[in-house]
Amino acid sequence: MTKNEYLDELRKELSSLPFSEQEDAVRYYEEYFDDAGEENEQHVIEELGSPADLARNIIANAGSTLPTVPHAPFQTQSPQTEKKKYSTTFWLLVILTSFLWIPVAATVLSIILSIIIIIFSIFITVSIMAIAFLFSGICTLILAIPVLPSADAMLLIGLSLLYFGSALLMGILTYLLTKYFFPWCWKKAKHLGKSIPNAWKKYSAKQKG
Amino acid sequence: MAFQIGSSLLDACVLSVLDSGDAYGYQLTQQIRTIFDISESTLYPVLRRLQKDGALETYDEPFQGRNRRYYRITGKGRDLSKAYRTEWMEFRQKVDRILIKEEQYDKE
Repeated sequence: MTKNEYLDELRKELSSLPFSEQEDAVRYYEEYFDDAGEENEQHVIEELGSPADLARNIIANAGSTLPTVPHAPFQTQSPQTEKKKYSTTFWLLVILTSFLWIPVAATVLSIILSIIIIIFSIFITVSIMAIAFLFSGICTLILAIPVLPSADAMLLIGLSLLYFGSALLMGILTYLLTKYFFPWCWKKAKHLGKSIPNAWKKYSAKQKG
Repeated sequence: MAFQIGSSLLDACVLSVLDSGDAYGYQLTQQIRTIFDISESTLYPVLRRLQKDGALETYDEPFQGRNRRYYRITGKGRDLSKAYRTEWMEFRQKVDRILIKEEQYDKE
């Protein structure tokens, strides 16, 4: 089959459509052949399938201006206008009910703040303890020097070793806190911060639907 | 290609391609075929429909002794393309969350 035979056949198959539709379709495919180049004529014919199939496809899509695939992968209506309307009333409501939600919000905020402060003070406590133990160890060691060698000196040196050990433990704890605990807290907090708006979105979507 | 494309996704891509410049049928088909495995006969009904909806318009330009029909996006088409883009980004995020698991939300 040649290009012209194909197009003639197509025109015949399209005869149920209005003339302008027939012309438009035939013209499109004629141009398509021309743009593909003569050397690709057979390839294009193969790709397009039989004129009858092609015509059926065109006729099926000619009637409706709606998408022919029943389940579109995503919806097409734009949500913007609705969102705008929603936010004006929403903010008005927010202002009018402020006497209700300000105390609640203040409570929630102070709880969050105290949690942050508690976490922060754990860190400060542990790290200051590490420094204090280190300092005590050094002081005890210095005290032991003038009374060397004696039983008192041995006691003081022992005590200072105890302090150094404790300082080391607290130091390790500080390290672990900064490395694991705080990032974990941060992650959880971020997760919480994200899940609240998400839950709200879901809720309002349910209200609308 | 493992995924089936619905016609709105095809519409969105056609509009987006035309948004960055006018094109004729063959050229447009080849361009879309770099993303989707569509047959050469798929695009005509899509273009015709978009044209009827007022999202596209055509004009002829002489080329080597014949006329070439170019497709151009209209203002309405641009609005539609923009809406598709917003919609697509939301859709993509939802799919990514399940398919790619970039953020491990669902540990709870």
